[in-house]
Amino acid sequence: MPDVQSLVIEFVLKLKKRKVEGSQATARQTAVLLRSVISQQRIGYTNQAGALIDAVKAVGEQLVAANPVELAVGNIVRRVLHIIREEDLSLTTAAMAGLNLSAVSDDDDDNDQDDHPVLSAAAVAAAARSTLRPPSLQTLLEDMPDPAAVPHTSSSGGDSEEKSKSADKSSRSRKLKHDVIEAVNELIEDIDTCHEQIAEQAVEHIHHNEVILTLGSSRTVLEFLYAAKEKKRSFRVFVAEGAPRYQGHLLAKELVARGLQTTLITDSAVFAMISRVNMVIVGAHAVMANGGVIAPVGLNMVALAAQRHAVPFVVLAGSHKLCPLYPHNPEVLLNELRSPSELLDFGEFSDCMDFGSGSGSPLIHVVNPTFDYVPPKLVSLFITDTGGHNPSYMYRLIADYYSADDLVLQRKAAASN
Amino acid sequence: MGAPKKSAAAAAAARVSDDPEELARVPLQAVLLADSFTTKFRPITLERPKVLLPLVNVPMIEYTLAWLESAGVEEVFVFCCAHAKQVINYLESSQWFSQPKFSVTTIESHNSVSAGDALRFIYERNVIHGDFILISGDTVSNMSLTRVLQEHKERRKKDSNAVMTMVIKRSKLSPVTQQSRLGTDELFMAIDPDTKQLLYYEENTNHLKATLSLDKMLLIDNSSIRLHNDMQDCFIDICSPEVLSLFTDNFDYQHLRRHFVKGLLVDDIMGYKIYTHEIHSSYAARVDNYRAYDTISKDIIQRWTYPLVPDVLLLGNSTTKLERVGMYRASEIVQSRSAQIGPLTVIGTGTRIGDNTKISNSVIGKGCDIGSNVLIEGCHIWDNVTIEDGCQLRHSIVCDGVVMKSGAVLSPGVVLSFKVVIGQNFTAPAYSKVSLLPQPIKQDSDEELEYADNNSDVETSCAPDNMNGELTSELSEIQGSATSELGCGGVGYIWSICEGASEEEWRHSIAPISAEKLAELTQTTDDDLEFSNQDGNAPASSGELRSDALSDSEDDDEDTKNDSAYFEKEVEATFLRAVHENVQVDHVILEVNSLKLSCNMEFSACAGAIFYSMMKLALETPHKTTDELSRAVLNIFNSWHRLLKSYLSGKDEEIEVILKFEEMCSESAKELSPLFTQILHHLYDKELISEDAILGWEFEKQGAEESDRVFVRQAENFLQWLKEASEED
Amino acid sequence: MHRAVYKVGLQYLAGDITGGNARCIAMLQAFSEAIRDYTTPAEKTLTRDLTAKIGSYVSFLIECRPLSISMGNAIRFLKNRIAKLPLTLSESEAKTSLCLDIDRFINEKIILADRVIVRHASTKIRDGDVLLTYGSSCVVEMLLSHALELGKKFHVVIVDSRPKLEGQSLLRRLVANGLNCTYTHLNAVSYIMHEVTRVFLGASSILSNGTVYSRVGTAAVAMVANAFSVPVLICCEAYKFHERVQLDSICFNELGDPQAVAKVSGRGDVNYLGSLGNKDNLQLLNLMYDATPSEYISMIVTDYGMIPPTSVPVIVREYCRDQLWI
Repeated sequence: MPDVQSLVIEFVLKLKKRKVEGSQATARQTAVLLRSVISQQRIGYTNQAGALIDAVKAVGEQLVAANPVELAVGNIVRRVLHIIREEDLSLTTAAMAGLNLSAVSDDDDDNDQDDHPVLSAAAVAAAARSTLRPPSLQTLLEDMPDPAAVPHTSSSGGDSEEKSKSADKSSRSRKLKHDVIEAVNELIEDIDTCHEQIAEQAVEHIHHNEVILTLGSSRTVLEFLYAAKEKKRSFRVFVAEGAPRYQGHLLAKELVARGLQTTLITDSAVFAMISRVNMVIVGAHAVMANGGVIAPVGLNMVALAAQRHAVPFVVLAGSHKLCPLYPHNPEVLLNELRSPSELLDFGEFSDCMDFGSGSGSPLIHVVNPTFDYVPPKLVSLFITDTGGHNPSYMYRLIADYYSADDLVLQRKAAASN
Repeated sequence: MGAPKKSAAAAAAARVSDDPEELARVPLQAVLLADSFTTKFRPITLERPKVLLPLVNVPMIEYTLAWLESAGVEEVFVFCCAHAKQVINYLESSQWFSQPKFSVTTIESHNSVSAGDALRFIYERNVIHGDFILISGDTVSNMSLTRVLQEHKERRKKDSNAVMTMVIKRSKLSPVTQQSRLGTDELFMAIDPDTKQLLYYEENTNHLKATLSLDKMLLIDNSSIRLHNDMQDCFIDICSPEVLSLFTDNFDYQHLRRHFVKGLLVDDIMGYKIYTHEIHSSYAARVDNYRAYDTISKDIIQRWTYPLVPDVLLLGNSTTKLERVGMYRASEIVQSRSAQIGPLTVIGTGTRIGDNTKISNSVIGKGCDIGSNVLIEGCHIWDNVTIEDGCQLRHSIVCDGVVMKSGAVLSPGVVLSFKVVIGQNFTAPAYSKVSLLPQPIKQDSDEELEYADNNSDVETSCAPDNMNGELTSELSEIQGSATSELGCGGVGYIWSICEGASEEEWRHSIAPISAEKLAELTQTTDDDLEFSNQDGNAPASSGELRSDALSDSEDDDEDTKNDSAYFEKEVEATFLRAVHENVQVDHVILEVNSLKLSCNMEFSACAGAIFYSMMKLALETPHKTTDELSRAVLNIFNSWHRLLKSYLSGKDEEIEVILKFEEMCSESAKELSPLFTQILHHLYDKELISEDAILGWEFEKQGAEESDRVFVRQAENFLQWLKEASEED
Repeated sequence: MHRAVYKVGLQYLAGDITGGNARCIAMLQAFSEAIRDYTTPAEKTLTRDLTAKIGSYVSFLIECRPLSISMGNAIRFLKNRIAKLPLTLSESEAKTSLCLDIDRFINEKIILADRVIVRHASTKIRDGDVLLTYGSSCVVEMLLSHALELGKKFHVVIVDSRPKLEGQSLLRRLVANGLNCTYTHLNAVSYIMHEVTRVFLGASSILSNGTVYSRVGTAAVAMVANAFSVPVLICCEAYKFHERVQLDSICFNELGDPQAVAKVSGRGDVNYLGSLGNKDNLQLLNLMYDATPSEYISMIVTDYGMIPPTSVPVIVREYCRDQLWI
């Protein structure tokens, strides 16, 4: 237990200190941390899923609070919660089937139940599953109780009914944990391989003699372009340097090293050059449920320029970047203003910041945001590990990964405190 | 998990590199001095240690510790002296004692009065085993230590005498006030541009000191030297363990810079070397005085210290959101719709703001209650402050628990210490300091010995533990006695500003320097420049070493009146010394010239002062009759007329001398009054004062009152004679 | 080659003189000096020989740095004046008349024009405005100082971009005047545009289809302003108008030093391309100008008043005729 606790503290500190760079690394580390939280979590016989969910939520709340701007943390926490719910559901349905069938055969064990196409439990299972889905007509009609209560009541009901089955219970709880950890492992693997999965689709989008423009640096974009080049497509890449971090230089260096035709331009030349570009391909920081993109600063300008010249604006995003939230005032609330020293030399302008003379109020205010918000109307296509999608479809895609109960993760947790 | 592994790897790497020193790898250590050993933050520091004062709503020590932690320091020794209990209690209740891989140990001492004592104390404890970082608990930084540590270690390998690396940052001086933006004095550093070795370090604390003298050897020994006056000392030092033993060996080292650094630079027997490391993109600064407090607060709000900024949760626990134009608002704020909150403002949790209140460029703490129609501009308001309707606050510090009754006004530069109550409609005068505690009577008069202070007299009288009880008992006492001092219903004492510091007040206050003061300073610097242009003595103002960098254009920081009195005294002393030691006239002229420069005086003032000192000398020579006195005066004129002459370049100066003489005769030295005409004649004979000047003086006096014309009448005959003589010509 | 022209050329080359107006004034003054020192060689006519001479000066200047469109206009004006010189004039009279013409051009078309523009444009600044400008335009700077003198209370946002970072010097000058400034880089323009009420931009030239030819990045700023429905005002003297048309920024542009793109000044930590040297497949492109489409522009403030971009051809027509009668 203290071990996990210290791991959590360590990761929280890292997030607070902004020492984790990139949403992929953050997502991966979050998933690994949550996996150890789950594996260390001792769960009782009753309401195992609830206990796991509470544990993950408690940790998740700390992580999200540590860096609310890094949406990947919240995404992964929600993904894990969703996994727990899903696994629990599949077990519960199986267990319910078992309960219903127990009248018939007592020594049915869980593993078998899974394999049974359980007819008698079908209605319950469907009802339970429906809680994971957006409300449907059926759920409205059936007036389901609180979803978290479903596994609870059902399992406690089972408990009171037959105490002799406790051994079976513990095996089920172990199974739940085991399944969840398996699923989280899969999630980690997904995060690890998202580049490849996205890059596989490159050849469908990039053609011979095309000109691609990108801004800043993104590992996904690099792999994507490289994959297209591997498939013997020859094309040219314009890389805008991406002030104030100038990651574009890094990308250009990588691309050149991998043998792609690369042109480095300043950010200011994006508008001038875009009329010669066939496609803009960029990475994202996070994709919101409305299809809007939280992207490295400058991309809104690029997207506007692309729209004016009817150049497709393609955003590459691994599924860990899909965020189930809808943005409100994202430029301010989902942004992080970094140090002015990236723009101005402190020593050079120190005399302008002498508050001893003059009115005493600072005359220079340097604004250095990290992210831009690109509204969905400017995005032509999202390419995720599952394929290409329209911005208008994102909400649905996102619903596959998250359960509706977890959307308000933070607020619920805050209220409970 | 990662770090121990890494350190193991580092140790392994060291083994490969066959460095026996590296074999015993010690964790990176830091010594944090939680006491500044100064009195600059009084009266606040009487009740709370400086490191616990909130800087943008977070105690200063939090910034220092957070930085140390993120810079990879593993062990911190917090040295507590003044209010040690408060510091220790604070740290115990904070998160810092429970950090993995970051240990904080407190070291408590009760009799250390300086940084030197502190380091000697730490040396005795024998806890430092390798290179360590020496900082004080009021440092704000976000620099990465990797590079500087690496540089330091590499230098150490080559030269074991490289004991210290100082971190410096470029920051230009204000051309007008000759002080840095942090309110610190001009700092001269000579650095070898290739090796970055520090060769010279001089803080120009004495604003009257005119010249900067570099040892000739510096220029001989080093092929090139870069002289800086635009560098800010960040007070972050990477020290080798020898530093501690050096302090122990030289038990008279007290101040880190004034004694230790300068001591090492001067001492060429041991050959210890100090190096510098300039940081460019990262931030580092130390809260040294109120102006630094204000400036660094603004830097934090402007995010130069990122990620140590209010909206990143590294510090404190309340969530603060950054909105547009640099507004930081914590959650749970009650703010009236009509309140206008301006740019670059921080508002703490649970604060309530009333109607039509205007706040700009300020920091407001937690749980404050601000009424309607209040104006707050450039203030630092700490926690749980109550400000009633219609108050006006400009550029002030308001500590915890202060109550401002309705209509009270704080002029710029006011400091209200804890729990002070300002009465209704009372206006606190500019730069005043108000505290519940009376001003300690035993004031250390010697400015230089400012470290010899804090805990001795005050601490004992009101230990922090029983502070509250004592305060409440005192409160009732004060209520009876001091109500008048702070208006109706006010509680607290206004501290009188000790003499000598009054002129300095504007330099270090949080309030911006007033326009008049700036104009005055500009005027004087202009004069200086003008003078240095016509005077060959002043160094050429060319190249990188601008005249303000090297030369003597020290601004006068006193009122002109005090200044001239001071100047006169200095000139007199110089003159007397010259008389007694038989100094050559030329040398006296030089000395007086430099005094003139440092005080920004006119030639006429010099002439007046010299004349005054001559007369005074004459008066002091034993004499019985006026005749003897007259003879003494003549003797002095005979031997020193050349000195006086060199300042009498024109009629104006000569008139000044006559006026001075007249003033002396009528005020300070009535004895001379019968001799007025006689001496005037002597002056005329010696060709010190021309006929024109005497007549000019008479002309000036024509419109004067009868009482002012006493001496004109006395000299009537002489004047008459002069007029006739000129007519004859 | 005349020494004054030579000097100006080198100053262009070294980048000591930048900005459309400054370059144009420097060139004209050098020409005026050259004309003063000019003597017609024997057996040649002043008109022809001087035109040829000016032509050679111009080609020298072009070698130093390509001419801006406004300079082209000024040269055309000068050549026109030379051609129109009455044959009856003596050499010295002709030279004096040309020098006077040049002085008048500088005064009327540049200096006075700026003053008129500033006066017109300052009526568009209200108290409480947040004005955004990009890079450093001398007319906009004059405008801001003038508005400050008028006692208007406003805030300035300076958007800057690599490689020239001209905004920093503008920032320094404005802050010295006591103006409250926000400084940011071009990529953050979408962030800051929410706060802005007006955008003031300078221009190198305005083409007759309403396209504004200006420092690279101007188009992006105007585009973002347009997307956020913030009015964009271009301040530009009428002598910079040109009858050329251009739809994009590629066909006609000036290329800066490519190495300036690779090296980020003042940022020691960004040095990824230093080791790369000259790889075949890496190109560095440093465009100097771009063309802002006219639909992003709300208004152009010129010495002839405030006009919509659609009226540019009218001004060009009038101006050309005007130039003949000057």
